[in-house]
Amino acid sequence: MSGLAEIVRLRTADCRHAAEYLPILAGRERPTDEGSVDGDPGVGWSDQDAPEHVFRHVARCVRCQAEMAAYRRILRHLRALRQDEVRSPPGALAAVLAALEAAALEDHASGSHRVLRVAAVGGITVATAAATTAGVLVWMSRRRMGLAQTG
Amino acid sequence: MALAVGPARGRRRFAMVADPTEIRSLVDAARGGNRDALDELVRVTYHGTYTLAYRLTGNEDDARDVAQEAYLRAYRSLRRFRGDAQFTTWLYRITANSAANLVAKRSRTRTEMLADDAPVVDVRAEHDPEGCMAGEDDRARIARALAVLPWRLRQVIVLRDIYDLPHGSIAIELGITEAAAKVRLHRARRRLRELLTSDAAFASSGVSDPGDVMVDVRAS
Repeated sequence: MSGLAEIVRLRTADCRHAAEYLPILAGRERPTDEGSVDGDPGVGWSDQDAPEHVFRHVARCVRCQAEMAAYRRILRHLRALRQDEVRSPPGALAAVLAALEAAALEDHASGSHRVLRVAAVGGITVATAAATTAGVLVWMSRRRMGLAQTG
Repeated sequence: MALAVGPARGRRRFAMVADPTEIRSLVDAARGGNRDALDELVRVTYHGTYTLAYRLTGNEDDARDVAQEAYLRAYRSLRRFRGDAQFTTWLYRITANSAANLVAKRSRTRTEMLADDAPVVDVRAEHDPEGCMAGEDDRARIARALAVLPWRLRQVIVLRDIYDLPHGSIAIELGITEAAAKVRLHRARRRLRELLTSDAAFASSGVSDPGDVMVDVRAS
């Protein structure tokens, strides 16, 4: 009896240990006989997913296989949830469109302001350059006249 | 665009399935400054985006805010969308990030239990009048259990197991490491399993697909 109890205890401990890996293993495709996996060969189980002894235990343990099946079922339903759309409250879509309209108008307005700002800065620059040039010309002509008078 | 309205309780199946080619041409036109194309792009993708926002936040008001924020951010960065991923995948990443920001902002301004061991709502079908209705399927039970998962666990399971986003993308949008995203996913699946184990109706419905039962393990 104690031998049987020991076997049961060990098996339970193994199940508890394997249970740590089942949520992730269930998300991977299981290998087929050909050594590849169902569907995408890039998503099969690998040695990084669980230690070798966990794979061996799960292969023999009906309880862990049932647990794995439960996880697979949950994952399958979760994937199927992608096809369910939650109905949005009335006016939600219209509110988004209005917010985008407002953002576009804001962009347009800030774009117009930018043009005005560039034009103003450009105007001031041109006016400053023209005034400077005029000043230089006046100074040069006066200097020339002064030199002519002293000469 | 295919249109088929399904049943029940605020949810519809295959409600508006936008054609990827149509979306691509709308994106191109919207990037070129076509306002009508942008509006149409929002119309054809809105239900999917809102659904993701709802699954992440768990309530209508937040889902509405998150979806709107996601579209505004997408609009502002539409020119930077390179098109190497599907537009909807890109939009879902923005939505996930917007939802994460909303929750982070809220947790700064309000004391809220976000710990993984937060008290869990009773999801047993027999304690839920709606759950007792005939015809409620396992998918609905899973959706209900998902809605009561703690936020941090729910977001990874929604993004990975429903929307099939890669671990790397999930980690970036949630601001965590890829390893942390994987650990959270593991914990989330276990918690969801525990919740469903307490749901007698789900537990007794058994394995419905023989393919669920594993026959071979690594050709042992």
